[in-house]
Amino acid sequence: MSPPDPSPRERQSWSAPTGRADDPRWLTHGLELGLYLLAGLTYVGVAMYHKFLLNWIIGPMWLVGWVWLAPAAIERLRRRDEP
Amino acid sequence: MSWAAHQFEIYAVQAHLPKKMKGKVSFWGIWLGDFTPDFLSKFWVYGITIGGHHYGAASPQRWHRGWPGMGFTHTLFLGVVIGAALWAWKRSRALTVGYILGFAAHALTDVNDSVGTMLLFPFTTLNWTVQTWAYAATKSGGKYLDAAAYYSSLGLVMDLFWLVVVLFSWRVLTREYWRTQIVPADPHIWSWLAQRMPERAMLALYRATFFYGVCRMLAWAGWAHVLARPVIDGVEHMGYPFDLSWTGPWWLSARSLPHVPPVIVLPVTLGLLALVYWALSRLWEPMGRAQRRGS
Repeated sequence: MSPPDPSPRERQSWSAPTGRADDPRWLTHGLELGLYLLAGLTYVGVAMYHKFLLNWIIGPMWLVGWVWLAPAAIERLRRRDEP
Repeated sequence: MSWAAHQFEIYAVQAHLPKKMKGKVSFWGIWLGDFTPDFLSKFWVYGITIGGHHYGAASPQRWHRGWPGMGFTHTLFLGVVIGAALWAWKRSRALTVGYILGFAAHALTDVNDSVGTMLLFPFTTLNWTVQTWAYAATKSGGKYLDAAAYYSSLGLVMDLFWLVVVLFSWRVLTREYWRTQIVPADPHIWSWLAQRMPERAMLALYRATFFYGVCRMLAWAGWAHVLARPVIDGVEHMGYPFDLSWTGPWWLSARSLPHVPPVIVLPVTLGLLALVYWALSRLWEPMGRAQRRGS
């Protein structure tokens, strides 16, 4: 994989795919935003009751895990189900 | 102490760099500088309890911010010393300047609680405090009481203030900004990460400290005011009472250390902040020349 491209990109709509080579084609900007919100809701919801989760390692990893691994897991399932 | 404010101020510093430094200061340098003071001192403030025995600081405020203690970890002096060591080791202007800015942001914002920081260490070990809210780390109350006090006082306003500062600079969180300002300043780290994770994960990693700050603020404030049932002066409350008065909350005794008159603290703190920016701005070009000679 090459280093990130530092060149500016044009604004895209929420329903448009992210267009990144590493992303599944079905992943839109809107879905990506949804992943951030879902990560936040689950983290706050769980951490309010289990406060050991509220630390600077688990917090950031929680977000990265959702944004990175959830689309990858869904894509793997989709491919497995394809004929 | 400040809570999520320390996460937000990283992005605020990044968004408000002097014009000539934009896109050239290491985000990870700012991040590391801002986190260093608490990395070095916080673990013993609350301590740990093993087998019913508590291991930790006898006086959390003295350990955290005082002298003798680890209070020197919250001084501009240590930020400059570590910054100079980083410069001698890596000869990286981006990292050194970012580190000192992040460190200074942490040390200067912590003057707001009732203990404050030793701003002019080693010239004086007196603390500098505005006493905006109560420093509430105690042996018996631990992290929970500290969080409850912070999120019931002007500490909550402090977190919200920094959140608003970042939201007014929302572009700092965009992919565009990350691509054009963050990546070029730290090309080696991001290239290394790019070998291991997709771009969406790297972008999430960049935003993750902000995410953690927002969630941390919501979770602790939610617990303190919705879930907790504290008993204060023999009366059970539905959540810890809010108290946005100076040095609040009223239901807790604010800790303090010997300090200078609070009235002089704000102007001196703002003066020191200006001095840090001015000094780094003056050193920017000479450091750039030295870096180019070195490489």
